[in-house]
Amino acid sequence: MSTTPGLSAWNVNVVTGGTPLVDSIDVEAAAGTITAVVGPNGAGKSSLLAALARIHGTGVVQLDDEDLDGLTRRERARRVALVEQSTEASVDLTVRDAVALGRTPHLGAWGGDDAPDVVSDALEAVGMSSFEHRNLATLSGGERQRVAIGMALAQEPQLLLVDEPSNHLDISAQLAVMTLLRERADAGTTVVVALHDLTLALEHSDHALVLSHGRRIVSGPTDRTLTASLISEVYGVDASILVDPDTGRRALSFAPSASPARDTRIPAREAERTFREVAAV
Amino acid sequence: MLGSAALVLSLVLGVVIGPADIGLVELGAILVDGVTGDRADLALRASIVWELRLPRALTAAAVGAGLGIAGVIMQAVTRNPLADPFLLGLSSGASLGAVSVIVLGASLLLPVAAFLGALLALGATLMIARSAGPLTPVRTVLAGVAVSAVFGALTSFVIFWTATGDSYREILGWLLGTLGAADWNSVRIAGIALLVVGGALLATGRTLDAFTFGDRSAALLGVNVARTRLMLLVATALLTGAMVAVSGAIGFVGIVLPHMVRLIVGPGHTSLLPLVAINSAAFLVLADTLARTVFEPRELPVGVITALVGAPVFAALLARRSSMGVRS
Repeated sequence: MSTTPGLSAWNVNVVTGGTPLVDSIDVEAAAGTITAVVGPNGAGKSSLLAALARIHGTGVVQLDDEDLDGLTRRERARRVALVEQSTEASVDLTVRDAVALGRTPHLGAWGGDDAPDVVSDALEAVGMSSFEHRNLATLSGGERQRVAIGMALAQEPQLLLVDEPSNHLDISAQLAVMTLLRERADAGTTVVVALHDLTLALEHSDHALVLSHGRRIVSGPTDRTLTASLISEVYGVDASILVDPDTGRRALSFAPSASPARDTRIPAREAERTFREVAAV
Repeated sequence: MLGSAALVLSLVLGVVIGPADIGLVELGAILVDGVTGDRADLALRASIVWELRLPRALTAAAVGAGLGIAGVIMQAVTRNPLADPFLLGLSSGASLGAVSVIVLGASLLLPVAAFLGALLALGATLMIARSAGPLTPVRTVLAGVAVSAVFGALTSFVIFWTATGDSYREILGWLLGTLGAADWNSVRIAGIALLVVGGALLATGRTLDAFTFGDRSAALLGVNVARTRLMLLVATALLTGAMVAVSGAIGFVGIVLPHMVRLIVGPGHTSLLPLVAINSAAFLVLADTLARTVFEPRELPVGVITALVGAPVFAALLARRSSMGVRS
């Protein structure tokens, strides 16, 4: 049905205990692009990603015109990887063994390491090569997060779903992860990433899908979709987007929505010297 | 490598040590003669080796390996470091199954009945543990204790009911585990189960690794979680059943050896499984050699030795878990 390769999902619903967490959402994401799923807490971002991975929920999810529900679990696991937000803290495995698990859907019935290079590359990509013999239980939250991403990379999926990769990570690691996702996208992978941090979404995604209370508010090219007015409305704050005149990098600035005059924001006066304000409510 | 050497060494010790001293050279001669079919010359001493010690040592090795593998599988599949065929009641269930068919005179069905008993006990343990809420490791072990007690009592009851001669001895043998009655038939039952079921289980390392992250992650990696878990647990019951059918309920092998080997080779199941199998085999052969020689000429049930070694390790595991703040 879709004309370009990538993800097409229609009428995705997730209902738990009578409460709709994801309410009739359609998703289009072209191969080779990064789609950011944003929205306030409880908007249904994680539920939507899990539904796209066919863990739960109803609806039609197609990848490259192939219905994911028509595939076996293994076939699906070769095409779709989901990095979830909270990974179990007490897992007793080495980093390499954990990342190698990503190869599971590619292995024959009797095991056999089909592609040790893929595992090494994935370890390298998430910067965990020197940790490969460490036990997961000894790692920090951020390191475990990177292992989880490495595991998904080792799966070599066509659709990579990542839930809040910036959690637990410091700034340089956040940027490293976003760069990594961009590399995967450039290699043809369809990347869908749920992001808390709107600045990351603004700077690193091609498309944005904005959710609120389980419903799709708007979606489209990030530049035109994640506007200050939309963010203000959806998050219930007073948001402005600031652009660094030298680098063109954008950042968001927030105030409570009832805030009076603009110049009462603390760093504003200072920021004016560096940032040119391009959009405001 | 080290494990294999230990296994061979323990097997040699298991055959050489005993009331009738048999030297290494003599053992070699007896083994060669036995294989070439000329056993008559060494008559008595050869028959001690061929009819008593060798089948006993080989049974011990097979049972040890089987229980070790069963322990690893159960720990991974239930994500419970305290899981083991003895602690979760499978061994007691298997004992009851075995004893039941023996008193009915249907000994051919021995391994089958032991398997069914193990399966029944496992089902009961998981059901009881789950009825009180989510399946936590300690609750599962507690349910196992209850199930073990019931099946152990029923086993004693059946033996007393049909008492012919030395019931106490027989009860002790089934409840604590003994290899005193091991013969070539035992080797056949335990050996075939180990080769077929144990062998197949050795190839499940990756799948077991996938389970360590939980059901959801395993499903995302393409594992059919419910079906795989059921198959692995049934295989564990099968393996445990065959081992208990020839040895009674020997405890702690399935929990001590996996944890000790894990400390050395790490938690990855692909290398863990074969190493646990080999080391558990060596361990049980040595434990049995001790069991039949420390109070010579009386014999201790080998389960007494494994419990003496195993219970402290189990206690240490519990202590370590609570000191790590792991939810029990």
